[in-house]
Amino acid sequence: MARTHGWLSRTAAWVAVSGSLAGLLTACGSDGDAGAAKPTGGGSVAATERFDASPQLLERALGSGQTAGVPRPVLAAVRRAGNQVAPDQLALALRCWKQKTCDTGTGGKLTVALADGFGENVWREVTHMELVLQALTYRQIGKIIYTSAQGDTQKAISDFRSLIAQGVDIITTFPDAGEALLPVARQATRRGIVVVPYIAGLGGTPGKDYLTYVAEDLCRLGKNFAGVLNKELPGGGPVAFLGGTPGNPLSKAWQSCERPALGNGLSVVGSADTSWTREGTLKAVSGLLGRHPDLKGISYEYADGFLGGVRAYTAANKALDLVLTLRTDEVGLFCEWKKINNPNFKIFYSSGGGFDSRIALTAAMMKLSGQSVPATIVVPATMRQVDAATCKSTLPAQAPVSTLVPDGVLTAMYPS
Amino acid sequence: MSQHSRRTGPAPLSLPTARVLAAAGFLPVWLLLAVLVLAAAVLAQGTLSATSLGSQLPLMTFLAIAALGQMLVVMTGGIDLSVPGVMTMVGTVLLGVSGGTDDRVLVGVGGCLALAAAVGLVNGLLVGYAGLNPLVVTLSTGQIVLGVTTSLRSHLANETAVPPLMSSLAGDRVLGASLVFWLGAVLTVLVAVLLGRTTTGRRFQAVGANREAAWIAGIDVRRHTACGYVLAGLLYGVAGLLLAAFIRTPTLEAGAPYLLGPIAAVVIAGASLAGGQASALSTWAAAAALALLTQMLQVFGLPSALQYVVFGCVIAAGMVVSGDRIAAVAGHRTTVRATRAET
Repeated sequence: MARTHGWLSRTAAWVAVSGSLAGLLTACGSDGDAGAAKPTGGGSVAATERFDASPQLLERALGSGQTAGVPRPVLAAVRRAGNQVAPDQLALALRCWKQKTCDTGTGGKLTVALADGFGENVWREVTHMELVLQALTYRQIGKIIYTSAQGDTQKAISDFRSLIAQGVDIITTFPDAGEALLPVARQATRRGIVVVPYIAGLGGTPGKDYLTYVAEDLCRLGKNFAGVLNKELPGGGPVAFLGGTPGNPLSKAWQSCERPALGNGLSVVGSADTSWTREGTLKAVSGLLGRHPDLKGISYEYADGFLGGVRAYTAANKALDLVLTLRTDEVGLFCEWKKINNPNFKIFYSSGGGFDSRIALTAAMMKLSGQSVPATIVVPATMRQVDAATCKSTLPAQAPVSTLVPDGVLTAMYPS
Repeated sequence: MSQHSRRTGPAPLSLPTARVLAAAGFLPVWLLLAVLVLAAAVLAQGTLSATSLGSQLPLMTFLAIAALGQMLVVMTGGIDLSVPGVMTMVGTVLLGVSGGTDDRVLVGVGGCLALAAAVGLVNGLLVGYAGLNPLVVTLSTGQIVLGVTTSLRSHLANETAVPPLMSSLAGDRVLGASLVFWLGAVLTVLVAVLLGRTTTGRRFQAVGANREAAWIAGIDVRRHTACGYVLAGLLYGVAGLLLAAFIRTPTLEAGAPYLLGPIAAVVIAGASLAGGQASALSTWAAAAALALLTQMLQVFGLPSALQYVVFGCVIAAGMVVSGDRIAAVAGHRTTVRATRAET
């Protein structure tokens, strides 16, 4: 018993000394952020944000270099994404990306977590790296934790609870499980943890049940799709919608806005579900071609999935004379487009939003710094047409072209 | 002797009668296929268009080959849930080993088939020799294989495509149909010949029909059961390779649709899940019927919800009128008549 007591005393003393040193290091060895630190309670340390994002980076991410109408957390996130990644930081970023838990070495007090609903594909891995790189721009962040629920709702809930138990300060999440995670998100918020979902919603009341929701305007997306088809197909013709899993709200949201926005002469002759896989898309497009071999346009969410659609056209021995509007921007399809080299095959894409994890983190840091954050951060996006330069053959097929992860980091992540 | 027969059980069927009954058992699936073709020709003509068939025949072939493997397992009274894992694994290993180049295509294909057979061997040993439940064993191995495949995938340097030679062959056409389709047809005939015309095949059928009788007849039941899983693994491997070649860049979801489809095809084809005889040609026909039905429903433009309902109803109806049940009912009546005649 005495030995235990002695051990406890030594441990307590060690923790106290370590904590003091960490605090000293944070205060002394920091950039401007730490100097402007304004503790807001709960051990958080404030960070200063700048909003003069580089037009080139904005163009890469959002399709437009304009800053007007872009929410401030988006500008701040893109501004930080422009920071150079030094060689030692690259090694650290790769280590943090590969490990579930990582010490950033800054001695920062904050622990940040990414609770991913699913993390087992390149797109999600890149999203994870976006968050890691963004976190490394904050000296206040000392630890990064990553969890993947592997598409399992129960595990997603369990991961969330585990993060709450570990006392993290910020949870950013791609909540594939949706509203099933709302109770644990509320629980985290009640414990003082800043929760920010991105891309997929949690339901409930953003701003109250959790800090904010980094979202895209799906109705605007549908209207943008319609705008492209109206312009590219002035003569009208049959078009079709491809969705993801049956009944998913995402597909329904943009499809319900695109349909009425389509111009005269364009008629939606069919819609099919793909389960967001190449194989499912192959079957769906095969079915559509069987009924409507003269299809003029297709709107779909998932660029990588349409590689299956390309195979359906090839198998059916049909030329890809098609206007394709897409929500995401995985590079594999764009390189396939380049190989196909058919001037009548036109692809327009919006943005994959892989960098939304950066925005989620920056919004959380702004909150901890005492700055106001809107209850919903709508990330604007403009439609872009694929050209030869869009294909970056050195990237993995599922890597999004709008990513803010520098090319050098991507190459290190996926060495060829 | 006659009295003894009357007291202890039904009279045995004559060989020709038994053969007719066995053949009749596999008849419904061909009728189903014919009805679907007619329905497609009348109601959904797009289903049978060259455009539609061009992409559907390869998809049907993947299902048919996987179903042939499942059939071999079902004949032994087992079931195999490792199909999606093996098919996905094969695609990923092919990408990794071949590196997307033709130079290593043979190594890639050989390695994939060896791995697929190895998974089948593990299943076979655990079910055939250790006597473990096939449902649990194959579910476990399938999950392990999928886990290892996911790990392998994350170590792939890049998302390379399958070797160009393979994707080119998968896209080739012979006599107006995909080469994949013809390969599947040849494989089906080979399995049919193996089961029906060779001693090994007949022994295998004997094990499936009655394990105890086969054991008494001196057949190594455990070895034949294990062999069933190994051959099935090989067939899943072939299906996975063809699927990968067709898709060019298979993902970790490539094998997912092949968990229940092959089982449905085997059952509709007239096989009993309790084990017993099965027909490779009927299994092929069942796979064709299921693929045709899927395409018809898509051509009709039905919403996914309704497609699921119709698909489920057809499978249920297929089971109700399956050859296995018809053969059982017809066999019972024939036996009763024969018994009455004797008395």
